[in-house]
Amino acid sequence: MLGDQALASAIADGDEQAYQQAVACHGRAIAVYAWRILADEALAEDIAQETFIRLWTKVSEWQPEKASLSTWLHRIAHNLCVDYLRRAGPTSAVSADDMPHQDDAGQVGQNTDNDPVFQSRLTTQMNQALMSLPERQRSALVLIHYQSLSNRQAAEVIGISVRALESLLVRARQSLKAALDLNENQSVSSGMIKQQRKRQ
Amino acid sequence: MKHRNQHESKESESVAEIERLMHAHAGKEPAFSGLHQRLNAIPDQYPRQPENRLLGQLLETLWPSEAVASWRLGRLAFMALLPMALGMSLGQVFPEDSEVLRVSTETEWYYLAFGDVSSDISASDLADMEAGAGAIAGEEAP
Repeated sequence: MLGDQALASAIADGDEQAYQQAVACHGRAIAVYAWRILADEALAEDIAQETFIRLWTKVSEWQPEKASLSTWLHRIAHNLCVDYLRRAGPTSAVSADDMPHQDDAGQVGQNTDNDPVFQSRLTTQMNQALMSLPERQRSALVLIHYQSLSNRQAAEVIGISVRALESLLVRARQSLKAALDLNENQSVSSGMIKQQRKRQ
Repeated sequence: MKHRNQHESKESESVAEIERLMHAHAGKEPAFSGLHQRLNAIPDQYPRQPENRLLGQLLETLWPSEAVASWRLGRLAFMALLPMALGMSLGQVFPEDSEVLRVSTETEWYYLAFGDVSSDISASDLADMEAGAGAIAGEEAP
């Protein structure tokens, strides 16, 4: 396995095997990130494709002293998602209802809780709550909690300072909680939270 | 103080609760079957040569290798083309304060027209010229 710099250098020289290694390492993560932001599987694949076209054709623009390859790819994907959302406008923004529910999700992660009803409702509620957040707040939460990036890396992806990111995260968590609480009367989100508390 | 601590404690509980929910929700992602094939097909769809080879070929096309080897010829060609491209004289191209550059350019133009004649000057002529220059410098000294 090549390191970031060796990988980028090999890709710049047209080494397809090195490129395929980059796809194996980062391809799915980039697609998942785009899916979390846009809530559309086909769009997420398009964003991932565009990101990797940039990797193949413009890898020399990556500056290793500024960001890791993963952060750089996330930043490209992030900018493409933001571009899409701005172009599409609020009327054609993808709704949380388009996100897959438990039944049509490809796989279930390593959750200790095996209650299918709980899982299905949690998925729906969280998707709706996440999609109700402003794009920046959603990006911050997704990068930190789902993509497991550090605060510094997430700040580089969004293009803000680490302190601004921390502040954004606080607001994002508050907004997410408020969005979940808002659905309390319409759904079982509050009950789910209480149920989970009891289980712990 | 107590009130503030309670508020902070409530806030951290809230954060932990959200984090627990997000963690429980994290695994539910699409399978993205076929994504890797799609991404791996990009090099075939966007065939390209390594950048350094492309640059080399471009240079070879624009600039024959014999010319690349001759830095003087390259410099002369640039200096000849620059005023022509700008439609100006050398004096206009180089500002007055860049005297060294201007003189150097004029010398290059001289070489371009007449060739390098420094080797034509005999050693005795050179000694005379140096002696003359020394005499002038001596006269000017206080």
